[in-house]
Amino acid sequence: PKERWKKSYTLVLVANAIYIVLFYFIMKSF
Amino acid sequence: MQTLDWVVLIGTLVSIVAYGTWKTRGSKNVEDYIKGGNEAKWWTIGLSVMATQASAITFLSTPGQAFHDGMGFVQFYFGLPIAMIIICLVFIPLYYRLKVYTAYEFLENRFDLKTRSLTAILFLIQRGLAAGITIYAPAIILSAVLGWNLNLLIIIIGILVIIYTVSGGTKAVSITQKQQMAVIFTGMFIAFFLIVSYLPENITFTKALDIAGASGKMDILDFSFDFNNRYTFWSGIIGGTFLALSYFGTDQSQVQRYLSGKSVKEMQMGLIFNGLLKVPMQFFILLVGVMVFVFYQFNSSPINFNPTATKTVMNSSYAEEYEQLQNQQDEIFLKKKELMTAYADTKTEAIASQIANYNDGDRANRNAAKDLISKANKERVLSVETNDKDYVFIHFILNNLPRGLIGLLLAVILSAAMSSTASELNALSSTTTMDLYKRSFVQNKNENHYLKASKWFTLAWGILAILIACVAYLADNLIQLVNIIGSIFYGNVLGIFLLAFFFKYIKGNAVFVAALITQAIVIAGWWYDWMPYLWLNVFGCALVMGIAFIIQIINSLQDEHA
Repeated sequence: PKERWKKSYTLVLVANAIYIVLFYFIMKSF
Repeated sequence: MQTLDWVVLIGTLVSIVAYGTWKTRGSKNVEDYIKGGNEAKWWTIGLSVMATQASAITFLSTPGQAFHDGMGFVQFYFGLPIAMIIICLVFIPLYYRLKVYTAYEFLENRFDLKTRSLTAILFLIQRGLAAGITIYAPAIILSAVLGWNLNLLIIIIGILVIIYTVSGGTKAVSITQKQQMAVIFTGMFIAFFLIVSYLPENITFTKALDIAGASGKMDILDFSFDFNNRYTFWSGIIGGTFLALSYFGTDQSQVQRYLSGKSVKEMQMGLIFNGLLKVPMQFFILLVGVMVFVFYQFNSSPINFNPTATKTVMNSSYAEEYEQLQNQQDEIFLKKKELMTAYADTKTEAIASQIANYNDGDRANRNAAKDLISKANKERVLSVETNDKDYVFIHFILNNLPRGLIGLLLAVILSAAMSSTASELNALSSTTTMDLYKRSFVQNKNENHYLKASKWFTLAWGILAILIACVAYLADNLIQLVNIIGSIFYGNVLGIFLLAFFFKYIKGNAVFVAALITQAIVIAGWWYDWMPYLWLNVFGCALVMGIAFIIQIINSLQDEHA
């Protein structure tokens, strides 16, 4: 079903957004 | 290089080639050979896509990039996940429904044969050249630092790839890529932990990051709208999406990886896998480079890491000046070493600003060394590379890693070169066979005929790649030349595909004429230097879409009047 696909695309976007937020905090810490 | 290194290096490479060749012997038909029998699972596709994109230069150059300029390069990959989603939603379902062997085959279905042939030929030109460079780039670096014979190394890499790619086709490429990725990650993780362990006892990993941060290496994100900064958050999100879309969506060397999938779901999951792991993978490779930077804050380094450049300048009339620079560099190093140790303990602003001053001196010295190398180049009529970022990581490996691990890291670099070259040869052969040979030249033969033709074309492209790599040293900055050729064609091809997927109004004739006009204008734009060459991608894409619309409107009006 389409719903499951929406989940995996959302997962990709959310995961990469988390990476960028992490990078931001790493940058601010060091 | 000790005996153990040779055993590890040759053992790793030969066993991967032998296993891949043996495991995939006996392709039954063209579908088996080109699409791997449509059996690939999502994780095979994901690894295969990543192994294709990561070439030797990824592992040689990226750590050096971080050594000199810090972690900012990771932003270049921010657009990739967005492109993966667009390809999953739009490209894959259509490719799958039409059961295409190549991306260009889809264009005949949507437009006409001449558009298919044109895009296939543009692909063959740029990817054929790029395959030569994929072999040449690591070969020139390894031959410089290890003293190996350049042409012999090129021929060995080429033949190893040809053996399994010709015999097993797509299946052999993806099976070997899994093992190559295992070697690559094992080697890189071991290298990372060793570098951290080589730091002075009181320098922990977080202190190492503090030291890197004090020298500006941890500026990961740049939100400025500065066109002169090549790697910013915005150029990554916009330009990166654009480049990833054309590379993964329209370049057969990538498209063929996911077309081997068992179902639409497996293909999509393979690309999702890539979209999840690509940014962390590049972050990790850059972090290795930053750790090498910290290592060289406590251990002396040459003023230029390219041994050929140093040799060139030492055999010129600038040798004395160069030695003075190296002595100055050694003094700076000793002062910085004290400061770095103090900073790791105290993290005070005063020391940080002193470090920044010495870093400016360090940078000025390295640039002065590059100028001397350029002058020595002119004096001796040579064209030695002054930018040493490709040599930083390999210099560290050869001078610091223990026996056996040098062989493993060289296997990492050569595995990465082979995994990319294999995908390229495999795709060049498929496109030649399916889009040109079978479609326009020799039709209606049996399966076996086209299977044999595919194998012969793989061999022919492999030999051509070896020849291109062997004559590559004749061109000045050939790697940049290949990037320029890519930029000249890529935008146009992506524009054609975007018209095919998103604008049903546009028909075949309008696209074909627009593509020819665009190609002429883009080549003129490059010749007269209208813009930095990377922007030719965007220019070509926008231009072909605009011109196609105008021609289609004129055609429609004429049809109404007729």
